[in-house]
Formats: sequence, C-alpha cells, structure tokens
Amino acid sequence: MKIVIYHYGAFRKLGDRTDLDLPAPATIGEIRMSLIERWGESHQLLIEDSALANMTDILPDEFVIDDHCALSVLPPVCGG
Amino acid sequence: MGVYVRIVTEKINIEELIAKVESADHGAIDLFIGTVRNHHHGKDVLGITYDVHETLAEKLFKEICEEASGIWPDTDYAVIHYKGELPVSGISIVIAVSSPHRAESFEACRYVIEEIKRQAPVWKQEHYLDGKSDWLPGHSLRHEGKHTNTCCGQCCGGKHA
Repeated sequence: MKIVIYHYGAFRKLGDRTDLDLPAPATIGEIRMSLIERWGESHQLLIEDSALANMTDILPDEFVIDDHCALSVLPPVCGG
Repeated sequence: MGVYVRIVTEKINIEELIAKVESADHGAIDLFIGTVRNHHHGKDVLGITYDVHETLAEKLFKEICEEASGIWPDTDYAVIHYKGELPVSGISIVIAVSSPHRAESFEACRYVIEEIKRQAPVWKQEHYLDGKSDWLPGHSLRHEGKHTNTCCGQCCGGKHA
C-alpha cells in the first residue's frame, strides 16, 4: 500500500512529503520505523518524539493502517 | 457557550475577534495577543515563520475552548492563529474570552494559551540577524508527560525536562 507522509516543522527541510510503499497492514509504529530507515539515524531522536496523525486525530503506535492513506508527521510543538 | 477558531494567513483582525465574543450579558472581555520578540536565548531575531497543521489545530483549539468552558461556565471564546512569516512585533495569535465578570475571563484566557502552547500542532522557525534559521524545540505530542529526546525543557514546568 502507498502511504503519503506530509512534513511539518523541522521535517520541512526534507521536503513537503515522503511517499512510502509498505506491505499491508502496517501499524503506526512500523511506519515510524520505516521513516527512520528512509531518513537515517540522524533523524531518529526527532522521529521518536514525533506523532503521526491523519486529518483528524493523532494515532497511537498500535493503530493499524490497512489501505492507501495520507498521514502527517508532527514534531514537538511550540505554538502561540 | 460560543467558540470561534481560525487559522489565517493574513493580518489578524483584533476587532473582528472581539466582536465574536461580545455579549450584552457579559461584562468582561480578556484579550491575549502573542507577538514576535526580537531576541531568543541571546540571539537577535528578525522574524518567525509559523507552520500549522490547519485541520488538526482548529479542531484542537475548539476542544481546548470547550474544556475551558466546562471549567468556567458562561464563557465565550475566539482564537485566531497566524500561519506564515512574521517580522518582529507581528501578531501570531489572539485569544478573546468573555464572561459575565472579569475573573473567569482572565483565568480561562490563561488556560487556553497555555494549552495551545502545550498541545497545538504549530511550529516556529526563527530567523536570526546572522542569516541562520532554527526550528524551535517543543512539546512532544507522542510522549505526553514522559521524558522525550528533544523536549524544550520549558513546556511542562520541568515535568519531563
């Protein structure tokens, strides 16, 4: 399945999005590991501190994705 | 209880925000205005770029205001956050809270800005006089209340610093 990951905050330096092609199903935790593999160990700490979300909710690591979808990777926040 | 929230890319209209919470039976409106400061940790700041996940941020602003309304009944809320680049003194966020008496407005407004800083999917990239730029560290949305690798050390009163 194809998963589009949209970038925010510090991940913008890697472009606006990353396209992953993963076997279905995959958990959010597995998708997170795929991002570490794709972007390298220099980004591991930030990826581990980042949440993955769909358009409406932040998704826990055990949440299962079983079809094409778009997600966002959200680094630690500092609004206001 | 009324709640109005928006992410904007144009200059925030404060009068419009006040109008959203005005009510004949409310005798107080408290206003918080966040602006860009010209220094941070000893560096001269020229401006800040605000990145926002608009859909999630508006949803979260609404949830925070609804939580506040549960704590301070009979309060109305309006929140606008800017997305894009701002110079020093530019207005990044305005929060207006109205209530029958002033105490509830003060307390609820403080609650809303603190929760937005802790939870809202918003990021700041500071631009410095020396030509460099940095994305600021912040509060992890994944590790609520736990130790994190990249915490700013300030967002939870030292709880996971």
